[in-house]
Amino acid sequence: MASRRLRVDLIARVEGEGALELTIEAGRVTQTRLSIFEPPRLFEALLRDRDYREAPDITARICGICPIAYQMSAVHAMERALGVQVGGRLRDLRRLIYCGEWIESHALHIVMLHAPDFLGFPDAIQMAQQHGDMVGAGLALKKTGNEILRVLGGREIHPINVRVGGFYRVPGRSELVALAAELERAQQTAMRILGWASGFEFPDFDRDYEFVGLRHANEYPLNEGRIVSSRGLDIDVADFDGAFEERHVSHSTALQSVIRGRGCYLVGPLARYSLNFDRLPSNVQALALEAGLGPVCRNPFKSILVRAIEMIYACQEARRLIEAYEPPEVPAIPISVRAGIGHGCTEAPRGICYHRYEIDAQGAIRSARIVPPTSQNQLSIEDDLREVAGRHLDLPDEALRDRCEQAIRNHDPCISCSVHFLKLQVHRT
Amino acid sequence: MSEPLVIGIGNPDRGDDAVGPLIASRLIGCPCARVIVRNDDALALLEDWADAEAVILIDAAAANGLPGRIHRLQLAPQAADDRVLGKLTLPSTHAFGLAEAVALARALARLPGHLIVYAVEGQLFSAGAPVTSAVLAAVDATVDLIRQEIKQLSGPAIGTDGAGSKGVQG
Repeated sequence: MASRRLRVDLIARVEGEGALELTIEAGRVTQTRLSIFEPPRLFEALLRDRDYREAPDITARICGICPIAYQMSAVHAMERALGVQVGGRLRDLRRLIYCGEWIESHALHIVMLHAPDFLGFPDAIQMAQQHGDMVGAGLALKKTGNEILRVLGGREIHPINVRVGGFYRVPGRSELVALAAELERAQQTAMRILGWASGFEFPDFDRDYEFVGLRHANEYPLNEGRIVSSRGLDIDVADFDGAFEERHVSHSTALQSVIRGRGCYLVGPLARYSLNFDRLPSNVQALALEAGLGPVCRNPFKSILVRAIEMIYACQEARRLIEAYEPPEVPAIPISVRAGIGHGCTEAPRGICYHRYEIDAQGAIRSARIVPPTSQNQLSIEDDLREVAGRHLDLPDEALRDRCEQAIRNHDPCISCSVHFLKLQVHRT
Repeated sequence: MSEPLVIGIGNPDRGDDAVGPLIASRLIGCPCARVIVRNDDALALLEDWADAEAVILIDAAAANGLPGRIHRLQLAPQAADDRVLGKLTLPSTHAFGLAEAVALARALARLPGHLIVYAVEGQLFSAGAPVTSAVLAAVDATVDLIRQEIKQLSGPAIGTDGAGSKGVQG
């Protein structure tokens, strides 16, 4: 049988630039290589010798879609290094700003990037001509999420109001109450989007992932929790290095993560939802079941439904937090600088985002390490591609390419974060 | 008609891409116009101009041999050919730029009734580079042209000419 090589040189509707190369020999997929060729961004080196207070604002620059994830992981890591814990209303405000990021990021991916795959449109602009109401709904949700970021973070992109110990400024109650009515509408809109997406056709494609995510004693996880997996991992955030390792591969400028002794794993909405279904409020659980999801979802194509569920949850949680809000007495708790090592791990929209910093007695950063979600998912995405391509070898190259790109978009990869990705090549022999 | 909205587009730290924000900063305080700057999310333009009847966008255009040349484009709500727009900057990591924002707004019937684009041809767009002298030399003339545009848009009568593009001496 002839060999076949398929290459996608620049994968569309993903965050950043990467490529995919598939090699098919004797009717079997023998190699899938997800190549990330955005240049390394060297953020860890950039942080060295900077003051510990600069980490949240510098690392926010890693991503324009999920800056809060980087800010939150950074401040939690620094606070552990400095021996302080932020609780009460300041903790609630951090949870609220993270809800804003989940809403804007998930709305953007569901409507602008992922839905066109299911409806046969090349992009959201073409889709808007027939599904303008849903595109408009997605844009409205994105706006609501951005508004939370603006009020709490000072601006929508790369917010500037998060600091180690709390915030530079906290909002008055009236500023947040003004968001509550908008969030009520946003939750209804998110439910309409879930109803729309639940009517899409999903391939039968369950995968045996090892899910990894945070788990908290009584909350659906955002900022805090232990790192757990569907195969028994249960560790403190500080033990990340003992359980995971990052590897260099020649075809990618992003490091690839594996669980030591076991291999690839999956982070992100599917993992978070499947590990924490019991932490969702009962009305949100009911909506998930109505939409055709079980308590565990192993089908990456259904990640669009899980994102919609998380969007509904984020709106509801934001409303709850606002309802209970009274301004804290101080915008940030006092910090006494000391030498130390701190670890932080929070749930970015695309999955867990781990930071580790070592600071000296003057508060200068001696070393920094950042493990973003997409670098952790690279191997699982390659495995998905092997499976998807293997099932569709009879398709001509162009159709196979489309199918593979969709399989990648299932995971909303953020390539810019990971280099810290996409072109597709298929080689058939 | 409500006052025109002027939007300067570009990254102030990438050489000639800064020309949009630079010209917008010169127009802040201009009577009868609201002026803002956008340097990233192109989708946000749809929110920015949601309530505006007339919008003037200022952006850098890709290098094409004549740095500093000023282009004026008027985009009609129903026009379909915005190839020139694709040469403007506002890049996006989701490959969603100004041309896509205009196309999406048109599909959703959210394009302002009057959308005028002033684009200054750039030369150098490197990170951290200053604006080139050729582009700087076009700033005053562009500011004057936009002031006149604002005056006309703020007046009682507005021309209803359709989509068009013309080069203006820079």
